[in-house]
Amino acid sequence: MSQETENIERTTAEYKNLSEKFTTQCADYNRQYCSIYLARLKEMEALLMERITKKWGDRFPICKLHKLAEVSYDKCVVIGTIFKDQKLKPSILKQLAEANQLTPQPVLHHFTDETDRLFLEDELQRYQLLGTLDVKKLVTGVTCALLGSDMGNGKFMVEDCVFADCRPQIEKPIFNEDVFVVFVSAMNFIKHENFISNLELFAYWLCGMVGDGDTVSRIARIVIAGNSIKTTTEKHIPTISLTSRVTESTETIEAVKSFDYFLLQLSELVDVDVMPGEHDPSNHILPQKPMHYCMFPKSSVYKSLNQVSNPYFFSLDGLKIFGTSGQPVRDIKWFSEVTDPLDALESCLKWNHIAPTAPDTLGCFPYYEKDPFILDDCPHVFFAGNQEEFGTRMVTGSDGQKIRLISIPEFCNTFQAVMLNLKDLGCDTIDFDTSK
Amino acid sequence: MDTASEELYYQKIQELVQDDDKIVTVPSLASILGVSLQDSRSLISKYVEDQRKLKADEFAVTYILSGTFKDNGKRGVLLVKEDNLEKKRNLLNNNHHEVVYSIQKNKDVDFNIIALVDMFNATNIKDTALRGSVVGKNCVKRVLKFKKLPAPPPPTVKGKSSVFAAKAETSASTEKTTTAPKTESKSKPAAGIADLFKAAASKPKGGKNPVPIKQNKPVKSGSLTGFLTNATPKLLKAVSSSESDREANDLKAASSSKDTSLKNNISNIIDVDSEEEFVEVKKVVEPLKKVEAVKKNRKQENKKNSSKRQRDKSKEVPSKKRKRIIERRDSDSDDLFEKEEDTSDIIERSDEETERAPSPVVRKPLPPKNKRRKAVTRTYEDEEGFVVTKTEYIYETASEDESENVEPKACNDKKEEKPAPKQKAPEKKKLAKNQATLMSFFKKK
Repeated sequence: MSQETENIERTTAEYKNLSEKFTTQCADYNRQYCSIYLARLKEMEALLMERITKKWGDRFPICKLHKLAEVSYDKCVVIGTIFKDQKLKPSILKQLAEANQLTPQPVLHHFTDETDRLFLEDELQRYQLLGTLDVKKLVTGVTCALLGSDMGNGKFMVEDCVFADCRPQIEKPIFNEDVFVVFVSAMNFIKHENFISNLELFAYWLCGMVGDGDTVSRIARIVIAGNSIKTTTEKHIPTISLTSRVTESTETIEAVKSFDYFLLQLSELVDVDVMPGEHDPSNHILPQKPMHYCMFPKSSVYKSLNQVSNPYFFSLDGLKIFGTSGQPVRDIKWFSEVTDPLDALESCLKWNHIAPTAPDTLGCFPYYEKDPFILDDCPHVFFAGNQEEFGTRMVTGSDGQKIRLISIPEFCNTFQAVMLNLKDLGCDTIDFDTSK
Repeated sequence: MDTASEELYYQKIQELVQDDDKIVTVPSLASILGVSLQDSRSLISKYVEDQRKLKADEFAVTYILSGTFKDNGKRGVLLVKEDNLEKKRNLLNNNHHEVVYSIQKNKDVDFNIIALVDMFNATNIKDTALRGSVVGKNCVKRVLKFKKLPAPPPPTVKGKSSVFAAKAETSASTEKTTTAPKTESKSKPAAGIADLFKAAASKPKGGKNPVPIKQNKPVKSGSLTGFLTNATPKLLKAVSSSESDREANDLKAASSSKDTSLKNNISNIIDVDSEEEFVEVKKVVEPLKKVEAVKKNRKQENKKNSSKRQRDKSKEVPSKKRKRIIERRDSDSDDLFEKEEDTSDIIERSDEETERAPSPVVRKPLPPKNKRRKAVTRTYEDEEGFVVTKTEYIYETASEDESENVEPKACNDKKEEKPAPKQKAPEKKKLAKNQATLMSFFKKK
């Protein structure tokens, strides 16, 4: 009979939450959304100046869009924000017009079309872009510098482009031993009775009682990347009621309760970071605030439970990890021909912006002075939750930055969690299968 | 673990599985027996081995396999039935781990039901994780600090008259439940008004016996008793003295002897049933001219609907020495209260609005024939030395046309005052300083 009665100590890593800029904003919704574009352009302009100098030197003059018609440069460089004019882009005016039509419009989940056009805008002027720019790979809100010439009539022929690219990255810290971080998303507790055995298996595995205690004891942290309560919105049932408020169903309340008990099991064993997702009880627009602790009375008693924001930026022993619950990646996939979430993540790093489609098609807070979605420094790990399948890739920035991209699959469909080894940034899934 | 304990645990497992027909999992058994997870797992393993030797298919067992898959090299944790154990073993590499997870008597194994056992176990909140678990350093409970909140303020009864407010304050001072003050406030003012009418019904002779309620009630602003108790101690003594009749007569004589100037200064009529109250009111009228503090308590006079309470003079018995105080509800505001703060007026007027229902109806006195009220602007210096310009109403011989203009105006003003009791002081009329009003009974002190 085993004489071990004491708990086995788990590996720990020094944790720092670097998401202050996503949690601190005043509740002022009186400002217009154009301010965030102005702030974005202003901040990116400084970064793009460096890139322009690095790529083209001083060969070409940098010109403002509203002065293009006045000057007669053969070639020049212009800086601005891309606007993608899409016929199929959802519009409230179209919805109102459609309401009067007899034939129902098809529900689209992809809004690209052959007729999509690109425009470059700055504070004062707008030019239509022609040339070598790939319309299918770009979305609205990307700030870039373009080399080309003015064709007149408000058109600019593009020959080359440069983006802000990855920011400087601190050197990756050295880990003597394996330290794991487990990522999981879309637990969908509203339907958890269908896969409760998989959830309990996951919790039991964390105890270290399934035989691989050596590996489990090196798990320092668990990150739950959103949609823990549900993964889809409730269908709106049209009623004659004049109120638009939808009360929370009892199912959601019970799901939150069950999730609280589950978090209690996890919090007793390991540090847990819970991010809100698109369908979780948090504010809808980005950045999403941490879910309130009052919803988790059982588990919030433990210090190991952290309610964090979405996007979420933290460091473990100096290694920086940044991620979202997947809304920006989903939006990029909807409004471009990018299908692989890893390509979307890589594009975000290249554009130096984690949510370029905000606030055009992705709801966000009307920031005025600063755009918080601009990356200030390059992370070592960049993840997106609630994806259809797992994917991972190591990318290299223009200055040698190495970033591990992770696409976290939905647990409710795949029963997979992702294990990241901080020592070598190795990443793989772990299946919790209870199929008969 | 010694043999005796082991034997006890085996018996417990036997009891749970065979007798109670329960599903026993490693975590649930550890929780029930209070042993570590390793010991629990060992107990179940050994129990299964022993029972297999005796009875082969007496129960169903589930296992957990963990390792890497042969095909893709990925990690996997599998919960399998005993029947599929061999099949699942072949999916994993040879270096996989295999541990028993649960045991049950029923051969029909449902993984969701097995998981519910641990889920329900999780609802029994423990202080710490199960013994033998891999636990992080930070997995400790927070130290909760309970903040002692200050006592809530006494509830204010809104929508009630000053009479009710008088009762509510006394009850709130005890800092008991909120219901208590309400019930008390409801009962006491009702008692107060009931006493008022009781006294009127009994009609004691000569007003010898003052209404006891006035003496016993605490000093409350706006209340009937408060009006009287807020008076100077001298007045209180005078009220309770046996010379009340003589003073009442004196007052009546004084009032009757006064010319229209007194009447002109009177702007409120309080039709009170009990002559004792009238007596006491009369006593207070004159001193009130001098005492400014008493003036401030009559904030509600103008807003009382004097038209509801109107006594027919012909029915008056001269011996009772009643004095009418006409309440003006139009723009003829009570000058006496023009200086008073508006905020308190707002509260008290609103209180008076709801209180009008139980109060007796005060009818507006019919103006004398061939005489009409006329608005006259008068400028004078008040007691504090300020020059005050106020609009007063005096009776003058007027034509019929003028009277028609005045009356509708008065009616309109009444209507304006009713929905908007919060109108500011400029609209008030100056009341004679020595003129008590019905509303003054219901004002806050």
